[in-house]
Amino acid sequence: MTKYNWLIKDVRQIQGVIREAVRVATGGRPGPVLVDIPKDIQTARTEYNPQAPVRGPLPAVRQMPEPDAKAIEKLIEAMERAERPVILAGAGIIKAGASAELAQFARHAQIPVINTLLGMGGFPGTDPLFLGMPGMHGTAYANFALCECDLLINLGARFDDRVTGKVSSFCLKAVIVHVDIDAAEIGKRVKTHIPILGNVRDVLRSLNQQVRPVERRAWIGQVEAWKRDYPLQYGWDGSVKPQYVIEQIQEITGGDALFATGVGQHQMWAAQFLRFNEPRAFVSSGGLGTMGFGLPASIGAKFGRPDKEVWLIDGDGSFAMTLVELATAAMYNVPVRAVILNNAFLGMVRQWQELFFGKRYSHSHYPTNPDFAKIAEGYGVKGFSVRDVDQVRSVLEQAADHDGPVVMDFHVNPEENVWPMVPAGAGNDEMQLAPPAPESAR
Amino acid sequence: MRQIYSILVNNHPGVLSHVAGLFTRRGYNIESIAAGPTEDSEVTRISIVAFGEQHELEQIAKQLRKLYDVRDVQQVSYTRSVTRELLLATIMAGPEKRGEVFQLANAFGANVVSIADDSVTLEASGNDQKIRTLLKSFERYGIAQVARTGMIALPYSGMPSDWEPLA
Ligand SMILES: Cc1cc2nc3c(=O)[nH]c(=O)nc-3n(C[C@H](O)[C@H](O)[C@H](O)COP(=O)(O)OP(=O)(O)OC[C@H]3O[C@@H](n4cnc5c(N)ncnc54)[C@H](O)[C@@H]3O)c2cc1C
Ligand SMILES: Cc1ncc(C[n+]2csc(CCOP(=O)(O)OP(=O)(O)O)c2C)c(N)n1
Ligand SMILES: [Mg+2]
Repeated sequence: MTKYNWLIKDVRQIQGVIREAVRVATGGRPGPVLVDIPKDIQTARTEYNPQAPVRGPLPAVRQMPEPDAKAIEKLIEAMERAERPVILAGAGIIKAGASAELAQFARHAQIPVINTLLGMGGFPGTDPLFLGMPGMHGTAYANFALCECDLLINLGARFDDRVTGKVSSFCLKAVIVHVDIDAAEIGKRVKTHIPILGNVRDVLRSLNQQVRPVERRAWIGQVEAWKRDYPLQYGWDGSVKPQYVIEQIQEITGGDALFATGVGQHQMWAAQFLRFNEPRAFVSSGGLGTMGFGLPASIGAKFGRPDKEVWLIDGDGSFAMTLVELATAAMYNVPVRAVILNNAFLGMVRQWQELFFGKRYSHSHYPTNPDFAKIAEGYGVKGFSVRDVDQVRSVLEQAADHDGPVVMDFHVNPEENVWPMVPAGAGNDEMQLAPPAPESAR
Repeated sequence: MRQIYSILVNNHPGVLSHVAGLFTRRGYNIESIAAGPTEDSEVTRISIVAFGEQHELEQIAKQLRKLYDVRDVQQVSYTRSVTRELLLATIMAGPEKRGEVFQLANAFGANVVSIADDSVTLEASGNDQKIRTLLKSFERYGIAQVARTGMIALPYSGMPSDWEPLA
């Protein structure tokens, strides 16, 4: 789980170890570390010395080499030959603080950009070159682009299985470039033709100095046609559709907010229907996918960025796991806008049970969910309960204006599914589009 | 494929379990593991022999290099290194067979370290091939118990870089 952990056995070690722990956590590929401070050490006394050296000699700090200039040259050549290039931009862009460099690169070289779930916000969601998310619940046009591209430029994404689908049918027509700061990620799951080890920000800066502007009318035209012909969509039947609620949040905020999520269907809809304006605007648990992440994460986000509106888009199951944090929101009057897309199901589990297990809804239905608005009121937090689609907009607007935490319990269509979907184990070329939408009443 | 990893690590408690844990967690098979001090008191050398496909073996090395306490990882090839293993084996042999067993042991340069009424315990060192051949030749007497240290390895020094083993 962690990059490293320390057990402090002598109080004099604390300052050095903490300094070292921060260095390890933030260096290279960032990640968590653990410092275990036993009770007797916690209560022991010591002198604080801001210059205290780290205990013992440091292990050789692995210097990140400058990105290989020859490999970058190869990439530029590949770009010049390519007719259908695509960028897959992951969380590495956000961690490197390379969003501006990415935007410049993509626009200059006219290459459409796909963002992994954790890469969301690394490229502006409103840019015409933006194709949304790839893979299992990605957009149709992102997956078409992956299947058809002749050059895939992966910038700081680790080719997660939700992204690639079946590896043996991933990007078969493409020359594959992978820029990553972690050597162990390159070539791990996908055979890479042009590996570039290094900080993606350095690589992009070097690319931006060398890339010549081009026009790619045919390819951009193709991608735009896919966007027009296969948009994200959902049916309309008078019930409160979760996607509709998210679209309304997008309209009210203009995407100018931070958005946290739980884990499940609602998380996928948030990634699909929101348009993130800036890096770190989307706070979501991807790799481990820990339900219950949302509410505490949204409170933390507000503390970290008090200048920003913070919205939580949560599932009923996820929210139930950590709702005790409402006490924290109430105690510090943290104005998070918590939206529960309450389908009374562990919806993501139910969707799989419906599609792959003959609709045997085992342990996924929660008809006895509590009244979350009342629970919120119990904590002294403003609560709304919404069952009528006509109330959605006005409740969201009231919440946006409320000075303090709010919980909105939206009783949404219980059996809504996330589309498109690449079934587990299948290739992105086997993506299933949404079932045809009934006449839209919108 | 088989691969020897010669790994230099910080001599801290818990490092061996970190390294071994990496193999087990990721489902890589270890054939043997041996650890001991080096010329530098702060550094331990761990020698691991593992099995896998070529790309898996490469991936193991990359993952090892990510561990905080790992200073260096060399993927040592059998043909470009010295490898040794120490073997202790108890061979079932009463007084009437001892002569034969001593003779065979002698042929392998193995030493007799202990004798009991019905058995002889031998000590031998050598590369993998020698240890296996030795064990095979004693099979017909019956081998009561075996302890092996696992392979240790050092890359050859002084080998011309274009040296290739004979086929
Ligand atoms: C229910 C559910 C469904 C999901 N469905 C999808 C889906 O449909 N599509 C999807 O995309 N994801 C999906 N995910 C998320 C998925 O599981 C992965 O978490 C996500 O795709 C990983 O994104 P990433 O590779 O960009 O981020 P990470 O896993 O964080 O990897 C970041 C990469 O960037 C590298 N890096 C870090 N810093 C730098 C730097 N400075 N320079 C260069 N490289 C750097 C790292 O070494 C690493 O390789 C889903 C998750 C859940 C829980
Ligand atoms: C702590 C934890 N337990 C179980 C899971 C497996 N899991 C993934 S999504 C999901 C259902 C989530 O339900 P809910 O929060 O209501 O969201 P929905 O899918 O209904 O939108 C479950 C159980 C998980 N990711 N995390
Ligand atoms: Mg639910």
